[in-house]
Amino acid sequence: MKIRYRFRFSKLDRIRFIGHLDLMKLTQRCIKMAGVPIAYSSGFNPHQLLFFALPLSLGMGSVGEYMEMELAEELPAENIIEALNDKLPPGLEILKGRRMEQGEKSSASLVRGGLYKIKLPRAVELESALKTLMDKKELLAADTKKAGRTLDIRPHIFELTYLNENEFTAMISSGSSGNLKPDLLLRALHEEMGMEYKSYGMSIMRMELLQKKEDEWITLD
Amino acid sequence: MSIPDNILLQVEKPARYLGNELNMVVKNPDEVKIRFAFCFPDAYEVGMSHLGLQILYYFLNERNDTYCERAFAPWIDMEKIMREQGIRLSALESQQSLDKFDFVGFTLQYEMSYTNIINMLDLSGIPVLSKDRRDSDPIICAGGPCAYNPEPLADFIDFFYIGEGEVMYNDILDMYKEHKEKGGCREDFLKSLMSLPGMYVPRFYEAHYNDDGTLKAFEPLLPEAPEKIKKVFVSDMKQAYFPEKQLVPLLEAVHERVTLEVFRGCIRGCRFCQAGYVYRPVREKAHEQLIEQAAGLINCTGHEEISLVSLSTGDYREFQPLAVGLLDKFAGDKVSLSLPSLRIDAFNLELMNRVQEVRKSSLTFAPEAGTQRLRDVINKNITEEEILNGCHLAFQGGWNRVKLYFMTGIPTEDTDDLKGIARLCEKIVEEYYSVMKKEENKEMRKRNRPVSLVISAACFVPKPFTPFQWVAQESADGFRKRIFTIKDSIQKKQVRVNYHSPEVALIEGVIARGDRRVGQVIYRAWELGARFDGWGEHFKYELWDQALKETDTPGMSFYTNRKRPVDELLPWDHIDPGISKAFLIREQSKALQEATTPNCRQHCGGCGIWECESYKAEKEKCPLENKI
Repeated sequence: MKIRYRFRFSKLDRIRFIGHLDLMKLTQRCIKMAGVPIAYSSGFNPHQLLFFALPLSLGMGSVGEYMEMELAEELPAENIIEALNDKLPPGLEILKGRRMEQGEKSSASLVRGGLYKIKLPRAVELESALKTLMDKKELLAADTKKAGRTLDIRPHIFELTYLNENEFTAMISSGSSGNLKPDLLLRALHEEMGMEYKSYGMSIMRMELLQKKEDEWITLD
Repeated sequence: MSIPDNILLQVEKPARYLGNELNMVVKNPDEVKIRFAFCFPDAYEVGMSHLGLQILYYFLNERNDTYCERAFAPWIDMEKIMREQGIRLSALESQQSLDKFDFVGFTLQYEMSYTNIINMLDLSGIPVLSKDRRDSDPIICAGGPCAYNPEPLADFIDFFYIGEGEVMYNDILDMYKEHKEKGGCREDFLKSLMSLPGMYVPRFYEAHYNDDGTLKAFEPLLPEAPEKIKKVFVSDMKQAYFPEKQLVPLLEAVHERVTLEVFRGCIRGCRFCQAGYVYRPVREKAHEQLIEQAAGLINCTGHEEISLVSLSTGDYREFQPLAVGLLDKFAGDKVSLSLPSLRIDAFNLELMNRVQEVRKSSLTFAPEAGTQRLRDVINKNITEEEILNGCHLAFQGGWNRVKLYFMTGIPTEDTDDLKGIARLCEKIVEEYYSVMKKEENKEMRKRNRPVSLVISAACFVPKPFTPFQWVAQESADGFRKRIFTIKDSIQKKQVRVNYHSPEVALIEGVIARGDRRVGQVIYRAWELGARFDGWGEHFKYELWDQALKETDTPGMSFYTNRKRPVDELLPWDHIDPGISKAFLIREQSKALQEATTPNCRQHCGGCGIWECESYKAEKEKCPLENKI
C-alpha cells in the first residue's frame, strides 16, 4: 500500500528565480532536514520519491504548484506541512495537502490546464487585442523546439480574460498531453498589437493548475 | 538596493544574486557596530564551495557587534547591466552596496582571480587604489594562500592578513571598534594594526630596485612597521572554532557536500607545493569530534555527501576510525562519503567498496612526473609499484577509470621523463587486461566498458616559499613542445590527454613571483577588460601581453624565465611563514641531486616551523643538533 501525499505550494518573491532542478534539490534537502520520513526508490542509486506536477519557468511566481511524495509511514498532513514550512526558505510555502487515495492518479498525469495572471510593463490596447486573438481560427507561432517550423497555438488557448489595461488572465493548456508556454502566447499577443516583445518585462503568476472532469475545470487540491 | 526583477530575468543563473540561502545569518545592519563584507573574487557557485568562507562567515557572525555578509564577482552579463544602469555591487545578505561597509575582505585563493578583485572594488564605487581612499571608504583587506606574496596587490589592499583567519580577527575588530568610537582616521587605524601579529600594511613599506630590475632594498617607513611579518596559525585544531552550520547555495555549486577538515598542514614536503610548506605544521583534529561535527552539519544542510578535505587526507593518523565511524553512523541515512586520492591498499579498497557501492567513480592518482627520477626531484613519494598495485586492486574490485595528474616543465625534466608518462599509462592498461584475463573476472570482463585513462598535464608554475622559488619557469613554446612530446608518445587509444594553457601558466607565474610593479600590470589588464582569467573561455592572453608592454616593469621573462640566485632579495622576503630560507635552499640542492626528503613523521627535515610535534620529538632525540 502506498502512502502518498499531495501538497499545494506557492513560489513567490525572489525564490522564483531558481530553476526547476534547483527547486527540486532544495525541496529534497528541506524534506531531509525536517525529518519527514520520505520513502526512497530501491536500486543502486536510491532517490527520494518526490514528484512535481509541472515545472514552473524560472522567474514566474505561483500560488498553485503541486508536489507529491511517498512516505515510509503515515503521518497527519498538517504535521508534514508544519515541519516543511519551518525549513523552506522565504517565498516557498506549503499551502495545503492531503493523503491521496489508493490508486489515485498523480497530479503530473492529471493536469490539463494552467491559469496565469500576466502583467505587462505598461498600459496598452489590451482588450481588443485579446478579443482578436480569441476570434482567430488559427494562430501560428514559431516552434521553439524545432527551428523553422510553426505550429498552431490557438487550440491551446482556452480563455483570455481582460482585467485592466496592462493585466489579463490566460487559461491555456498545460501538462504532459499538451503544453503552451505563456511566452509563446505573449509573443503572439505583442505581434497582434504591433509591439516589440521583451520577455523580461513581463510579470507572470501561475494561479492554478487544473484537471478536467466531465468538461469542468477543477483544481488538483 | 536589490537587483530589480527585470534584470534578474535577463542574466544567466539569477540565483547567484539572490541571497536568502539555507542557514544565511540574518541581522539588522543598523544594529551592529561593524559591517564586514567577505568577498570571494570569483563566481558565486565557485566561492560557495570554499570551506574558508564557511568558517570565517560564521566565526565573524558569532560577534553580536558585527554583521559579516558575502559578495561574489558578478558574471560578465550582470556586470554589463550594472555598468549600463549604474547599479553598485551589493552584499547578498542586506543587498546594500559594499561602499557602506567598514571592512571589505578578499580571500586570495588563486592569482588568476586578481582582476576580479579590482573589478569588484570598482563596481562597489570604492576607489581601486589604496592611496585614493578617504576616511569614509571601507578598509580593504585580504588573506588566504596567495597573501604569502602580497606584493602584486600592495597598491590595492589596505592590509594583508598573513595566516589563519580564526586567530586575529577578534582582536582586529575590537581594535577597530575602539578606534571608530574615538573617531580616529584610517591611517591611524592601519598604524595601530601593525602592533598585532600577522598584519602587513603595504603603504608603510617602500621597495627600491637595482638597474637590472631586481629588488635592492625593502624598507619599513615607520618604526611601528615590523621588518618581518610572521604568519599566525591555530595551535590546537582540537580547540579551534568550527561552525555548527554551513551555507547551502540555492543553485548547484561546484561541490555540494559537507566538508570536514581533518587536519591542517602536510607532512609530505612535495617541493612544488606551496600549501605543503606555508600551512605547516601539521595539526590534527580528533576523529570523535569530526564525527560529531559531521552529524550536526548533515542535519542542518540536508547534504547527502561528506567529503574529507586536507592536503593529504590519507596521512591522517585517525583515518581508519574516522572513515569507519562516519560510515557506520550514516549508513542508514543515504549519506555517502567521498574519499580523496588515497594511497590504495587492501584496507582502503574495502572502504572504497563500502562508500561507493555501485557507481564506481574513477580512481585518481597524482604522480606529477613520469619517471621515478623526476618524482625524486620534486619529492613526490609515490612509486610506480604503488600506482600499479593500487590499480591492480581497484581493477579487481571493478573500477575501470583512472585519472592521472602530471605537471610539465618541472626543473630538470627531459624527454625521457615526458615519455615516462606514456610508459606508465601503457603499464596501467596492461595491468587492466591482465586482471581481466583471469577466469574469475569473466563476468566483469563482459560487463565492463573498456578501461579508460585520463591524463591531465598542468604547466608548472614556481611559487614563493617552495624550494623552486628561485628556478626559471619554462617558456610558452617550451611548454607546448613538452605537451606535444607527451601527446605524441601516447599510442594507446584508451588514454586521453588534457592539458592546461601555457599562457595562463605564464601570467600566473608573473603574478605568483611578482613584485609591487606587477600591480600596474594587473590594473592595466583589468582596464583593458580582463575578467575571470581563471576561466578558459574568458582568459585573453593578448590583454595581458599588452598590459605587460604598456606598464613599467622589467617584462614577462624577468619574472618567469629568469633563474634567481639564492642570495637575491625576493619580493616576499619580509613575509615569514615559519619556513627558514636555509631549509628551502637545502631542499633546492637536494632536488637537483635527485635526493628525496623523508616525510615529517619519518624524520624531521628541520624546516624551522614553530610549535611542531615532529620537530619537538626530533629535538628530544638529539638535543644537541640544531638544524635550523
